[in-house]
Amino acid sequence: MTEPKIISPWDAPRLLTATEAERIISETKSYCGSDGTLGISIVSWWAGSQRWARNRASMTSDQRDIKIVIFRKIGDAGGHCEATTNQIDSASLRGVAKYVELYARRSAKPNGIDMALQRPHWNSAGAPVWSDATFNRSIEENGSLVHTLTRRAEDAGFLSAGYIESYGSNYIGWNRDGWGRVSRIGGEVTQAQCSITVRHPKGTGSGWAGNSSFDFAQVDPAKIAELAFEKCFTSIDPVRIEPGRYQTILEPQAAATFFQGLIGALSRIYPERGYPGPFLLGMDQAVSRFRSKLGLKIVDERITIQHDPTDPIVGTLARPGVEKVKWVDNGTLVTMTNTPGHAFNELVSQTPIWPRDSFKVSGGNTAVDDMIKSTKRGLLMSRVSTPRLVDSVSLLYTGVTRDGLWLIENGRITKAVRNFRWTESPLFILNNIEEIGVSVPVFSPVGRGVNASSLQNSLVNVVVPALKVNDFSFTSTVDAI
Amino acid sequence: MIYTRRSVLKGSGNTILGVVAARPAMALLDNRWEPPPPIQDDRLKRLIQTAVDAAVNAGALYADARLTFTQEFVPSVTSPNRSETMGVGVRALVNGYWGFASSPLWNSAESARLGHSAVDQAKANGYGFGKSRRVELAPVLEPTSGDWIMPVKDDPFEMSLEEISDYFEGLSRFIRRLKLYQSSQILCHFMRQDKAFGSSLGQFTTQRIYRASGSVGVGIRNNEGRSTGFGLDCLSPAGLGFEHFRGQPLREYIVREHEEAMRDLDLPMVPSDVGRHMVLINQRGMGTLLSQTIGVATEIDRAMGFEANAGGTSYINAPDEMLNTLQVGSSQINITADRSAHGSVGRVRWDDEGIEPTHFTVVKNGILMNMQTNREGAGWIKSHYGNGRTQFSSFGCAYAPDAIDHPLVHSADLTLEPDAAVADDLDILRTGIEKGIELKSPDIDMDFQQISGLGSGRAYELRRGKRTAIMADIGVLFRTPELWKSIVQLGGKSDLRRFGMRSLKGEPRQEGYHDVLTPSAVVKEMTVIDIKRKA
Amino acid sequence: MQKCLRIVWAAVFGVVIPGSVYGQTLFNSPDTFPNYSAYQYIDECVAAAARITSEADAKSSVWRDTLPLEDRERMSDVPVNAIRAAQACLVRVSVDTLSLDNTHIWASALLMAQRDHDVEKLYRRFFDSPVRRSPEEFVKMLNVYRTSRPIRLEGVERLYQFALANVSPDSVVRQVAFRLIKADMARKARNKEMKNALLREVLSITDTLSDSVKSSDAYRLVGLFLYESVRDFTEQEGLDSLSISLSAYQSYLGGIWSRVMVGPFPHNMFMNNPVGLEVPPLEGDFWYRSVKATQSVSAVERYRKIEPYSRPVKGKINLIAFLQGGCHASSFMIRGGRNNGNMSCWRIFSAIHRMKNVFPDLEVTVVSKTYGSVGDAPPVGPSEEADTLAKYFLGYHRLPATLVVSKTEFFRLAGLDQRRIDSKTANESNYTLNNISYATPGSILLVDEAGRIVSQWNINRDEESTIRRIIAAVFSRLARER
Repeated sequence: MTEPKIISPWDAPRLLTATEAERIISETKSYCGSDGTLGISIVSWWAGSQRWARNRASMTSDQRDIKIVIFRKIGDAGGHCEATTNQIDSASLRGVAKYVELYARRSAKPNGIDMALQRPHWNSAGAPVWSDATFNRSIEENGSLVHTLTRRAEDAGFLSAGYIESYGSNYIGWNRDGWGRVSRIGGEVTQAQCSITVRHPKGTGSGWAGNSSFDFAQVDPAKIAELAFEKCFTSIDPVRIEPGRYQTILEPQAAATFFQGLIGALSRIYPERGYPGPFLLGMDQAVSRFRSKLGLKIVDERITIQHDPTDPIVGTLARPGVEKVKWVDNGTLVTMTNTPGHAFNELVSQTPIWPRDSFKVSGGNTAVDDMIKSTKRGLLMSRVSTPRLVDSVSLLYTGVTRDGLWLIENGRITKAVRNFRWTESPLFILNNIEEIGVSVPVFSPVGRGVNASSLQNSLVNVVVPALKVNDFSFTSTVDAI
Repeated sequence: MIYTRRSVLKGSGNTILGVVAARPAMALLDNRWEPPPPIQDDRLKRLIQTAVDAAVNAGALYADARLTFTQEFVPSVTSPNRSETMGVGVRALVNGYWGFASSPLWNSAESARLGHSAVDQAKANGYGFGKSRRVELAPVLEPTSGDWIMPVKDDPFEMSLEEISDYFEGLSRFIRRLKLYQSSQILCHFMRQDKAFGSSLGQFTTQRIYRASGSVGVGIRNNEGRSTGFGLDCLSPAGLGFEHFRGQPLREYIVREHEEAMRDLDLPMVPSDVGRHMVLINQRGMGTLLSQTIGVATEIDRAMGFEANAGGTSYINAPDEMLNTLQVGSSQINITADRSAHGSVGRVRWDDEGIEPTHFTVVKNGILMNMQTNREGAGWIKSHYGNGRTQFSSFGCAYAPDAIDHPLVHSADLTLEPDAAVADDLDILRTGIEKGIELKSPDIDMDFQQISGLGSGRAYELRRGKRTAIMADIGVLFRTPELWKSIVQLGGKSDLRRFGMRSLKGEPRQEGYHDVLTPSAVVKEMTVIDIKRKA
Repeated sequence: MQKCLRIVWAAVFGVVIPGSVYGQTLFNSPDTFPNYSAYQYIDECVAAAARITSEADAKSSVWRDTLPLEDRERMSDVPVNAIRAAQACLVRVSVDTLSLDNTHIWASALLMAQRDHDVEKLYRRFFDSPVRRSPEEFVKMLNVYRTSRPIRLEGVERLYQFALANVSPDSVVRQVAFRLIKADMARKARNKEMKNALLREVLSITDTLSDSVKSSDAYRLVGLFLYESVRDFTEQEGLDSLSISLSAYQSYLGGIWSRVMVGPFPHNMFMNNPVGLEVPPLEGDFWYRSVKATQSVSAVERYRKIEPYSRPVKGKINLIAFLQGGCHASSFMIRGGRNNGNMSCWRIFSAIHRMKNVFPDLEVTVVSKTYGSVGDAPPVGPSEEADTLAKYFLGYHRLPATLVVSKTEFFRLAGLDQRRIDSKTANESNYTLNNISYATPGSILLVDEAGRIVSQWNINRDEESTIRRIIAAVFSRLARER
């Protein structure tokens, strides 16, 4: 048992050291059998945040936690056991290891694996998505910043609410498989986020803006505050107009929701097994196989969607199966996600293509202002919320607009409009594009990873352009402002 | 030597770190290790006192600290999943600003560090501001000390895993014998949390709370290949132990739902009947509506704009002016709140500010009477109190999932009072509808002020008091004020059903749980749409 | 200032300040056992007994070269703990009040608790009940006895008597069917006497049937089953004929056929029986042969690459095992190992080892083909894949065999799809005889010295002893002829 060590209370490091993480792994291993699968995931995180409302800080926090998840499976048949602790002393580690060992062994069946056929050996340090500027921001700096960010709203008699967070984490996923081979993923990440809502005190106008990035320097809170204020200021006293189809400019944050709907439906397994969906082409009688729409044009040819995990801007960390990928190339569907089993059985390929939420859409060069100028009559949409899938075949969603919707007439914004419920499909939108704006990162803050893999998965970054589309379908009005 | 974070992280050649420091977020170790002692242990009180004292000594006007030991458990003999986590969180109020610091280590030195840190956090808000922030916390009339354990019959954490597993396997065997059985899924989750709270006002309370939740989903398919499914809504989160499962006649419920699903297979499918209709909504649907509309809208922080950048605001946006005057529903609408009912998932003896929640009226005869408050929130509507109406106090709605997160106002358990004059239940209400639509446990999507909503899910065409068809692709649009004014009939007392609800709010997101106790209801002139129809 | 202070704090990091640690997560599980007597439902009792039995079965290790001939797992008794759990759990259950809706479920639980007499009582209630029950429930009740551990033949007998008493004497087909089902149970319970008596009864009934009855659809399925049962019943007669000549064996089979069925004896209709068909030579692109070696050598030293030569070997008795597909390429069989049911590769491997031990002159050929990859290994070229297969079959599993691997021709779907579509190998085409493929994964052929098929089967443990006797008969004929 490791003897307790005594350290200073005053400013303990906010994250686990690499040395200590290694100690945890090695000690946990020593409490478990050397057979079967053993997975140890350690996520240590810290978050410093400022939250404000009504132009005053409402809570400033310093939070930190550790999640140690032990996974154990003995033999290829039978069950497995997983347990989580957030304590790193020897007794706790021994306790959690004893627990998984007991239950994994109880349901184990003798190992059927009889030959060490090679399997991919996964080792990945991960691309660094770390920024000292994010991690080392002091609470005083943020306190001062909040003051600045709220000043304009307060001076104008508006109400600002918002959130700034600096998040840092390091993590290790260590795994020994049934063949005794060890793989590991690991890395250190930061993420900064800032989002602001400015509202008219009478509730007659509202504006929102936000951004997130691994690097605080790229978040630009001042610009966010300015945008939120402007949106609120210009959205006051919206008028009610008739629902219907409008030429609509979707700002990047709104456009992102629809791209996400498309990206989430890119599994190649379902169409190739004949399940109805947006990308099922039909049965190819010549080879007796269901065919997907791979290789076919599915959206406007100006659209290219890709993901490069080594690009910090869309910074999901690199790991096997999460490699650089182009989903849509000039409108053509060129890659779909694939599981290891499907990849192996159908393609004789060992490389699955994992789904991921981060992506980057090729942009155009039309500024939103220019889109407005070229619009005779249409709407400018800032942001949407509560999207709900109502038809999985046509990818039809419904949701509401929020934080700014404006009527454009003869090349200029003429009035703020009451929010709408919309019913629309990304496939329809992306086949009715009039103009494309410059691609920019949008707000997609990190979650609190409960293990190394989920932490990686939660590092979502989305880079999308504004879009001007024809015949966007608004189905009813919504009262909230 | 100055240690940058990078050097620490890489663990590179730092002798001090190598010897003593490889233990961040865990500090101040003593020579004695032990499992979490009973939450009432005096040493834990000292731990809390250390944190509070540190904060007060560093300049806090008020400080509180919480300890949590949370055990979670997904039982299965072949793949059990268990979690045990600890936390300590300290909150400090300095010059009207809140600071909060938390970590996983129960340790007096760490408590002291967190006390200091919480004050640092609070003070940082004043840095360069020159802005004052006025906070008036509702008073703690009698600082409480006490211990409480939520009464449960079968503590799942004290039962053998095999017994729990046999129970679910037995249930699964029963389900697999159902006629036209196609597939099923049974899920369950148990939580037991010990928590201690103490403050600079001398409060000190400890409690053990339980949460049990689960779901049973069954799919059936007839010989023509038509399939349907059903689930049990009686297993929504509850403040109970294993009796949440074993104490309910689940097999009876399953048989009932199965019979209904079999009848559904024989019903024709018709398209959504777009227009305005009389709509019968079952208890679960009314519960979701209550929770999503008036429930969220009367959370004081939401109404005052403190959630504006997260979930949204509230159509009840000026509580001071609206309390006692705003007509939120028809005169038969009465909504009460508390956190003390046995088995309710929101049940506590004290909230996360050490306040004993009280039973209070949210809506009386359709008029908004009270908001759901914590201590600070009650201060925002102080003018509402007095005049012989209500004492200036918190209703005890402060809650945080564990000590790592700071408390927010979360909804209390809500009751939509039934129509005392009738003994109607869902079936009787249905027979009274000549032409209409029945919504069974709809999903509800609300806008960000809980005013405009969309309901969707399983729906039936009703003709002469009977279900005559399943209506496909239906959506109902509503406005919250009209909805609660358009209720023409509520079920009677025997119609009441309790459901546990999970909600998310705050930045960062934290989850909360509360109950709704609701009868079914008939609503006139609801707007029915074809949810797949574009403009 | 605050920032500076932080740095100072960091610098003093390491200062020892004592404190009390009160927290550790020790995952202490309650030291409690299930209170079976408090269980509310019989389903829970069944679940408990099944759980305990399954855990006990999982712990009984049976390794590849010592696999028993018989299905021991199914035959072994229920663990004592499971019986005790069931007894404690069902202590409050009275058969007098049980609902008759799921009689077979309650019966199976009561049998677990060894309350056989209560099952009888329950069944009596069932039969005495005026409510008309479905025939399916009766079959389920029968299965309770059949699948119990150990099999309760006495119970089967009682149900059988009841069934016969309730089936019209005119329903001859049903009469035959019941006896056949019971005979099958007797076979599984190793009660040869009962089995033979029943088959004699069945045959005497069958001999009285007119051709029109035998041509009926209802009889046809029963007849096919009867054909197979009589083969089993008259096994010695068959083996005697086989030890004379293959044509005598064919006559023997044809004789059974004409006794129980009408119409010509289809050469390969029943059970794909291709007796007497001549097989073509195997083709392959990569050939390997096992090398006798001690256990100390490495896997790659247990085989060598050879030049193609004609197989099956004329003049010798051959066993041809088609082990492509399930046994290696789609690796789940490998992963599943011994736990993968009767078709597990390991069972085939073990059977081959045992047969070769008993019949050293048996020429064993393992036939495989390339898929582009083996197990979980990265994709490789055909030659490398064939080498890996040799390492797997001959090196690791030490099969005393010649391995023939065909390079599978394939194409990929055009464009981005790129799914691999395999063509049939020459062996898969050539071993399709009379439109029936005998080259399916797991298929095993016994081929005589003239290249004619003597028997074909998909191996499972129940059949292995029968196959051995067939091989012995063939070898004895060969020995006599020589």
